[in-house]
Amino acid sequence: MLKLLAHGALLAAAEGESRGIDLVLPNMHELVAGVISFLIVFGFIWWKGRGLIGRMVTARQEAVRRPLAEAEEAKVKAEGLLAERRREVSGARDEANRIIEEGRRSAEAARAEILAKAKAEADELTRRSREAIEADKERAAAQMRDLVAVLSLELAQKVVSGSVDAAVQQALVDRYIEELEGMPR
Amino acid sequence: MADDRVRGYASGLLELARAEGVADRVSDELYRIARALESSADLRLALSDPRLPPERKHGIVADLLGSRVLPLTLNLVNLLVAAERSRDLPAIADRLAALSAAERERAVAEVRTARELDEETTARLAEALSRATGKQVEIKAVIDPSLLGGVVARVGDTVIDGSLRHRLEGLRQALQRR
Repeated sequence: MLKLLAHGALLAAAEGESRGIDLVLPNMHELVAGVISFLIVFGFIWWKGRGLIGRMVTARQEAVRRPLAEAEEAKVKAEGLLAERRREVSGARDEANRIIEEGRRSAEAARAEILAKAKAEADELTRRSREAIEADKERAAAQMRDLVAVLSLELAQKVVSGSVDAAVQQALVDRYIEELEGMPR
Repeated sequence: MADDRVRGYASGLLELARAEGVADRVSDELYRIARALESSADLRLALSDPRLPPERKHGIVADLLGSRVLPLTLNLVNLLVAAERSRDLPAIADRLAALSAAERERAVAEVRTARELDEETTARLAEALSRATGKQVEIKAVIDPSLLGGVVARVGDTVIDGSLRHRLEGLRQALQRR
């Protein structure tokens, strides 16, 4: 405002020096009157409308602040929800990882158990097979011994029966008698 | 009951043989016939077959024994066959031998050999068996070619096996155990 008044004073001073610009600039009196009128109107408005304007500004500020606060609150809430969702997702991921790990361990344990069982069964089968083979070998050996014994006996019987004449029989009986005489009573 | 019957037949047959004065020989012959009957299932079946007429059985007995035994022995065997006691003949012969030996305070020694023994060897064997068993024995000799050689003597429940068959059997068992 002061700048404007100073400017008007300058213009009034300059008016005395040059009339050429009168066509452009208003009359100094008019200007002063205008300025005064303006100030009066401005002061009246300021005096009367300051509270209203203040309330309007306040209301406007409030109108702007409330959505902002609500928006901020919504943002905070959303961020809370987001954090919660993230925690839930993280928890779900951990749970999924835990389930996967548990499944992996279970599968590993089942695999180890199956392998151990298969190995035990294979070992048992091997043991039984070996026993069966040993039994078969023993049986075959026994049969072979029996066969050899029977054949040997048959051969010996043929040889003996052909070689036992009266003299041999008498010698056998004599020996039998000697053995009887040597027996303890 | 069966034992009474066997003892009765044995006593009766012994009395008959003794009456004829051939008790020892009849006893020996019946003993050998009994052993032959034991070793031949066909002969046992033929003599005990109820469908076979007695005349046929007597014919079989006559064919087998013929003149190799006393007529009294042959008749006694026919008597048992006719009475359908051929199955009891071994037991009757054993009892008869035991009764005959017991009368002389002796025990029966069944001596099996592959070949027949002469009298001197039989006497030595009887003496050796008497000494070994502590009983005076009376030898009943049985020819058993399956022995191959040697002697098997049985006095009561005591068996002394000196046969080649027994030794070969021992050899067979040793081979099987090895």
